[in-house]
Amino acid sequence: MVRTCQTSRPRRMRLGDCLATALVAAACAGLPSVGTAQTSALGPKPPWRPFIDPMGGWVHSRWYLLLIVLALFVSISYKAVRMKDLKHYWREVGKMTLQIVAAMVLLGIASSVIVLKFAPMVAR
Amino acid sequence: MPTDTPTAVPAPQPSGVRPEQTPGSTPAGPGQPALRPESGSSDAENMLQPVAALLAFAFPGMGHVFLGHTRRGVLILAGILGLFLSGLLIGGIDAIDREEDFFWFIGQSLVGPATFGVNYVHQHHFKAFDQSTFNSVRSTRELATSHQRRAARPNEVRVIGQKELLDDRSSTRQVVSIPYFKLANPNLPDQFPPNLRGLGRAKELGTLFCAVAGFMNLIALIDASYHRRAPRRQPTRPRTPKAVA
Repeated sequence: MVRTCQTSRPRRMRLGDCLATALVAAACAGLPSVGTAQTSALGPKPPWRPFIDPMGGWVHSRWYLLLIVLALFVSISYKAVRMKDLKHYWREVGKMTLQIVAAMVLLGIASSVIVLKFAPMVAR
Repeated sequence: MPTDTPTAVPAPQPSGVRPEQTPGSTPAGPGQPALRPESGSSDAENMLQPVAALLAFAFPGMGHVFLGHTRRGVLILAGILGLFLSGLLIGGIDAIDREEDFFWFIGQSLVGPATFGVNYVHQHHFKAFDQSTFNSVRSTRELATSHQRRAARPNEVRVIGQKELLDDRSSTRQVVSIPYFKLANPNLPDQFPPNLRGLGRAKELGTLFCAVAGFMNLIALIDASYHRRAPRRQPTRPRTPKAVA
């Protein structure tokens, strides 16, 4: 099944339009092709072999979700090293994960504001 | 009327520390048990812990387990191995490649022997020579120096061929097994490459996860190197058997 997703792009893209486009693109992204062998132009494609082949299509479209996993594992190992008392360990891990994710979201918003707002102003 | 005789003023103690809990103190009074100084409370044991550092490099978290911090070591192990295995799951075995991603491999190698093992398997069991190399090579030195192994293309299969080569050291001819890639036959089943190359986000994130795992293990290694030993547990008092009614 072929999924198509076309979004019209206005001449001057605002920040809200950009976010909406990203959400629609993420929703229209294809599911990973795993389980059975497929045939492509280069020949038969093997089924996905975990830890040997890279993951399928959804990683390319929803890669930002993996940053949450990254932040979680970094928090687990960092808090295990840094905390003197492991009494409230998992609460601290959750707090640090949220802080990292929130910081990344804010940095992403700030970067998009710079690229979409300030850079065109400077270019004029 | 004030007197000049000095009065005994107790020495200030850190908050939360009872006077009898100070390291190396004598029994607080008659009838109280003698306090055993904590293992690792002396300055000598706060110095570098080379065995813990080596163990932390050999396997993530083992340095802390060696020092008696078992739960801390297990949590460090879970975090670092979680990152490392997630990286392999996302990017495949191509996420660790000493030949093609050398600078990333430096960071990944901080995880320990696991990275070197995965890299060895990748280089020797997944990569292979070109078929033209297999056809043209004449000596073992030529095979070892002038040609590099490479990853498979999507339409290739990995086969191991036998070829008689000239051994430069002993000047004799010997049969050598040489892995090489040849074009897959689409009419035959299981004509697949040994692994698919990681591209785009999967490659980036897989490599990044493994490298971050290495740097987190570096933090754990430094912490284990200068970590104080966990206090030994006091021997528990043996329970008295219940009186038989």
